[in-house]
Amino acid sequence: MVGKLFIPMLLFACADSVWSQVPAEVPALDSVTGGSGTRLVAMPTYVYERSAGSAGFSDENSLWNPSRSEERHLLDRYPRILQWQPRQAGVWASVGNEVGDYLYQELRSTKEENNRTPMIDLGVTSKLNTNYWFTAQGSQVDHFSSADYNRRENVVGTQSFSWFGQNLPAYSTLFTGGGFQDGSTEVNALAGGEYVWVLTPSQRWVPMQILPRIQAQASLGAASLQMSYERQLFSDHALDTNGLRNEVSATLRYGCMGGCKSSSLKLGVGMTLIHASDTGAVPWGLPDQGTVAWPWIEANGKLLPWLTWAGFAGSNDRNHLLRDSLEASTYIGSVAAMIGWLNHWGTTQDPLREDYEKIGADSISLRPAKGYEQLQKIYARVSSEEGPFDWSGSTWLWADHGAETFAVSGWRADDGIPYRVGSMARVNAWLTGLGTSARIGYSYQSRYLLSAEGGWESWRGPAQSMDVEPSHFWTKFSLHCRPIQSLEITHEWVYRSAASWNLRAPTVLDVPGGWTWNASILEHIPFHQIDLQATWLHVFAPNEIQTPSGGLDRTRFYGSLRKNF
Amino acid sequence: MLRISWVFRSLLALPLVGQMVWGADFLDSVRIDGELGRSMPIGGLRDVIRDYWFGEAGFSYPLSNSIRGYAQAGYAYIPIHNDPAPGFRQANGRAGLELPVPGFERASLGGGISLVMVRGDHMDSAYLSSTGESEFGWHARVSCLVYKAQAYQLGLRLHWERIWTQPVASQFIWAGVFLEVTPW
Repeated sequence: MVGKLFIPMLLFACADSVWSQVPAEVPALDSVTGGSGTRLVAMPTYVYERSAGSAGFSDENSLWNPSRSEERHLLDRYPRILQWQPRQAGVWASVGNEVGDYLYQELRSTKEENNRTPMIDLGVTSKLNTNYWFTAQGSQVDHFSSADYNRRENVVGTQSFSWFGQNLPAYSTLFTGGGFQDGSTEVNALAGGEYVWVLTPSQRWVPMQILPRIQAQASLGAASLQMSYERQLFSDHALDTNGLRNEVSATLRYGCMGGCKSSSLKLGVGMTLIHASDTGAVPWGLPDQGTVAWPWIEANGKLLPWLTWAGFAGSNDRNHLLRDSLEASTYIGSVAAMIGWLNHWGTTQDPLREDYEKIGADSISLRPAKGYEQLQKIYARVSSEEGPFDWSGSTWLWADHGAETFAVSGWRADDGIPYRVGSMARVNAWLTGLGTSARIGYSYQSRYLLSAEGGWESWRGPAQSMDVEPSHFWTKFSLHCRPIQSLEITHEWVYRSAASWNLRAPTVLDVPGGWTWNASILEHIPFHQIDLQATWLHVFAPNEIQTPSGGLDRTRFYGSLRKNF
Repeated sequence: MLRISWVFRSLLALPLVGQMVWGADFLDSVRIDGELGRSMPIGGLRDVIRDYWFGEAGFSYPLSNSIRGYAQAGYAYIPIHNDPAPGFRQANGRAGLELPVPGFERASLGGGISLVMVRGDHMDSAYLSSTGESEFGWHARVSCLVYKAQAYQLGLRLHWERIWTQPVASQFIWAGVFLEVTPW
């Protein structure tokens, strides 16, 4: 049995394949490469994401909700790529590169550009027996690391700020751990270390070495507790400063949000506590001597057989937040129809955000400005399946008053790279939007799947007062086919119209719209569930910078092996 | 002698390990192969790189009645012109699909993904010296069986390979003799 398990583990590894779209290098980036709406990458730790159908211009990675309290939070974001999770049981390895190293061509041409940057993602998740499992994972995506490279090198004083290589990647993670699961009881713990670059509200990349990081989780019936400890080191070689933060966070959540069959209304309560002890030059800080307590309640249920209500509310001495939605569903013939209303009221969309950022003598207040944001959205969706066809359509109308933004009071430069100073502010005017999207899919013998989808949105109001003015239009055409049982080919054409960054650069940065092509070939080797996959991303698309202080988005290729246990 | 004896014993143990790891279905269908040959660059690279010998080892497996998947890894030492350093080392890997030519079953056509890793042979050479570099590419290949016994097959194979380097892609022709064995 040991041989059966471990020899393949040495020889082969794998890719998580999500066949609704071409998979990205790591699952956390899937939404970036093929998702609807607007997705703009600076480096993998900073991605602006706004799905089609969203209300307001907020970045999804900065929005709190009760589930987010169980996710990792850094400064003012919940970066997907930094979430530690055991993946599906198996062993996997992916290696890739931005296409275009010099190699042999160094012998006959002058090297005018830097070499392209690679990625590596390795790991194993194994069940030790029925109840116990073990995982070990390493991940590092060096793509986009051309972002402010020279300044970043001066800040850390080395090119080796990662577990592997010299590209100063956005993150470099190694962790291991294990767990126990028996019915509704689950306990697990993970420990490791990582190198991370964080893009701050002032628009500066700040390096963090986090060693160790320990994350533990326990669930017993309806109660769950998640705790983490991080020892964060901040060193600025250029300024000769050092800072150390010891941060502990814990979230206790009680409620049978998913499992209470007997009750039509499900209630839950929760509390998040973060405590940070800072010494030296830590570049940001929490309020109240480094402590945040955030209690909340959550509920969902069917008020009537056709009427669903869901929402949450949280409050502490600084922030208040309420968000709920009401959805009515019915069938018109074979067409499923739904109409809904979303209500949001709050002082901030991220009550766990740090209180300030420090840059030398400057201090930026990240505390929410006075007042509150109110956001309303009404939306409708219809969908149906008829024979080999499926289709859906939706439309939405929203109005947002008091959205959080950043009031820039001036621009400074650090090593030639501009950064902004100012404070959080509100857009005290109504911003309204109207959008619609549609999708049609066709399936032939479940071996060929074609789909076309697209969306459009228009808005009125002071859009230029927000960090990002997203794309107005996007579309995607995809084809998935399985010519033989053990071979799957997926490809997609994706278009996003122009977007702009209004406040994160001294002058507005327009990100041009354009097409990109992604494709993947998956081969199931017909013994012992081994998958071999080759994937091309951002092909036939220009090398472009999508975010101020961001790296170049280039054509990339990666190969992966996975063996499922 | 002792060393040779252990190598021989290890080879004898391979079927046992294979059966333990992959099961009987795999043993019936997998073939392992070794290939030796000569490779030459195409185009402008001929001015800087000499032809070189290579060695490859790999295996193939059926994906359907006619299509086989293959994987191959190898090593080559690449000499260059006009440099005091003698050359650089290259490790390469390939994975792809292959199917027989209809009407001429001895020949098969294939294609797939390539990966090369190169590293200067001397730390003081002016290129590829410190940590080495790697790049992906793709290849097409044609194989032709010359001799076929029950468990052994001997043949000739030609690869055309294009590596996605900048400022232009790098292309090579590989010509080799392969021995394919159905070991179990």
